[in-house]
Amino acid sequence: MSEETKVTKPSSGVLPRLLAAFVIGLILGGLGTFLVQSSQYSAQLSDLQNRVNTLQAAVNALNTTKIYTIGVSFPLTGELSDVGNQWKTVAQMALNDLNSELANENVKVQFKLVIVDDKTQAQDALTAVQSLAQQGIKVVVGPAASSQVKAVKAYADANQILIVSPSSTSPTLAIPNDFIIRTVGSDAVQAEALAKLAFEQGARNVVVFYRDDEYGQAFAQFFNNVFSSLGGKATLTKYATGLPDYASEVAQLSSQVKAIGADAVVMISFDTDGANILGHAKDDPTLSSVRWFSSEGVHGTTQLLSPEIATFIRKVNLLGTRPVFKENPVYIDFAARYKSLTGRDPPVFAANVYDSIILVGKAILLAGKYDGAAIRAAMFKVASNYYGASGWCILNSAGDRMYQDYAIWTVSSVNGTYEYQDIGSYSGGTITWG
Amino acid sequence: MNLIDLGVVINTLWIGLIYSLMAIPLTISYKVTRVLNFAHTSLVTVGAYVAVILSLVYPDFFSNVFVALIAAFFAGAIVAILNHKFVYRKLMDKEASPVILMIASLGSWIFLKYLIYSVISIVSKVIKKDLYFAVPAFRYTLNLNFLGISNPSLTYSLILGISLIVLTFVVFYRTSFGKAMRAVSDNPQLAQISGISDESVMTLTWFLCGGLAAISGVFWAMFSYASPEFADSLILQVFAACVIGGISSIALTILGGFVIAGAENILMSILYNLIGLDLSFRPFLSFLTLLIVILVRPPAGAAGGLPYRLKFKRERKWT
Repeated sequence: MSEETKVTKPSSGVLPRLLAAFVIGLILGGLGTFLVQSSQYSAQLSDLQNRVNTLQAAVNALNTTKIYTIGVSFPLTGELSDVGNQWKTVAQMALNDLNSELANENVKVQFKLVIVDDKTQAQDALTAVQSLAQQGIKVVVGPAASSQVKAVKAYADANQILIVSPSSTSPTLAIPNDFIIRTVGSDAVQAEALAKLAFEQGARNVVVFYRDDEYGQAFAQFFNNVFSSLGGKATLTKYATGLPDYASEVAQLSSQVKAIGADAVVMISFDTDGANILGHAKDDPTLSSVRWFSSEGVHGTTQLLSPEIATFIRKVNLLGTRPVFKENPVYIDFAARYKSLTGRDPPVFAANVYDSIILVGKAILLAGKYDGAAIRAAMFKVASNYYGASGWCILNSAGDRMYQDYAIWTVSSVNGTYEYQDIGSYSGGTITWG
Repeated sequence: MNLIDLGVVINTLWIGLIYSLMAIPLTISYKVTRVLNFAHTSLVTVGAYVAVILSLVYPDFFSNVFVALIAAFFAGAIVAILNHKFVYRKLMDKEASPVILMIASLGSWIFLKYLIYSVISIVSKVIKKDLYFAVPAFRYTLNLNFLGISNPSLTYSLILGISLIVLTFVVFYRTSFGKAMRAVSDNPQLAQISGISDESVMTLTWFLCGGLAAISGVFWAMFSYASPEFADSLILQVFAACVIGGISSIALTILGGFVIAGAENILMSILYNLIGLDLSFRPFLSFLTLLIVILVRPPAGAAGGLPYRLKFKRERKWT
């Protein structure tokens, strides 16, 4: 073999190796970069997806209507069933107004009511509030009577259930920082108004005939304080509540009025008991010969407009006080709509019931969440800017209505039929007639 | 100060009469059917409301007390018979014990009470009048004036009530139907053997008792007022009157009614004027009286009834 046959192997130099390494490095680097970038993209993508989902949920939430429930505890049976059933209509009116206003503004929130009967009993009011709370309800309009509000107070405070009573007026329940809000003024002022009215009308020696419950006791006590300080003498006589008839009590009242030579009777009653008492008093010569004064409880009862009782009211010139809402356009509209719906004038505290429902609805919207404490805080803010059927609803620190005027009412004959009439008002400590 | 005024005496008379009128049908129905009928108060309420609603809706016809009373009588009677046919009869056929029947009557009571509430609520909306506190719109044409009572509804209900009690006595003690009722109540098996149909006597008893209860409701509404629960708040007093009468004797039941009414009014008046006892103690007095009567003079009824006891003593003397 010659030397030419000797094939020289191509020299394996550094360069090709470097080239290969570079290409491999390039491929690996490209691959790595791709991998890293693609993971970044996927993170961004999922982030975007999340945002889209959130937006989609928000859009859905805006499109689907959120429903909040307002609990209502009204006396549909028992002593206050007369007004309780009328309030039910009022509450339904308020709910419809609230919901249609929200629908008109395209706010996707609606309210619904769960109405429970508390039988005008303290214990049943507690059961009613408890059963509403068990359904997850955080705000309850009602109960009506002060004795009932007192009964539910401890439970409401402990469980942060906001109680909004449209009609509890006992001064003993004016307590700051609790979960009780009352869209009506405390009776401390009304008792003062009634005492001044009776004194101004010439009564000096009166029998205060009052319900033996939270409302009656506090009212009678406050009345007595003011009336005595004016120089009058008040004898306090209480009667048992929830009786089917008060003929015996009226007979006793008559003999007491005769015995102490009283010149007037001041009646602190609810509606059915008050109307029944007047129904029996009209047959009693002694009770027909003294003046009568009354709180707001019996105002609005149709029975007082019957010719027999109305004649008695005219004879003894019965005058009463009642929390009133200065005639305002909202009330006039409300009263007209109520009358067209039911054929009757709105009953006592109807405007407060109406405003309570509206206020609660607005407070839930402002609070933005369904929570007792938050709604309570929002309630004060909403109320300070709300002028409703009952007028300005601004609340004081105890959660009671701050500005409450009182009217002086009686029953008088208008065109041959008897009607309730406001013949004066009490505001800022003075009585104004007309 | 007088211890008792004339007004108090008149109230005692009136309320005693109403308690008696409400308690008599309860006693009779228990005697004959052995059902302690808690649904009794619903029959009273039905009567009151039938009179109230009819007199408000058809004043031309039903403002006459007598017409309204007849309508109320039939309404109460029909409800009582339906209650018997659909509840008590079914249970009696299954030989239910008196305790089961009593519990069933509690059920009927609550059922009827809410039925009444629903009817009132609907009618009230339709006729646009308040029915939760209502008085029948009767026209009292006769001017009855005695004892210085000026209120015609009071005199009417007093006179009609007394007549009704007399009529009940006549029916129960002077007619063959009354005799049949007493026979069934004394010994149902023997009565059946003698050819007296148990079921038809019971149906007639419910007819009579339902009607009487309804009429007593109208009397109450005439002088006081009708509300869906007025009769419920009277049930304890009415039962007290029955218990004093031993749920057996009609005469003693009437006495019981007046004893309870007397305690609530005359005794209350005396205690109020003597020691200044609060008027809000009135319900307490009626039950104190009931307890005293039961303790001092154990009631008849379950133990045989006062007439039976006298008879028993008499027989023992003779033997």
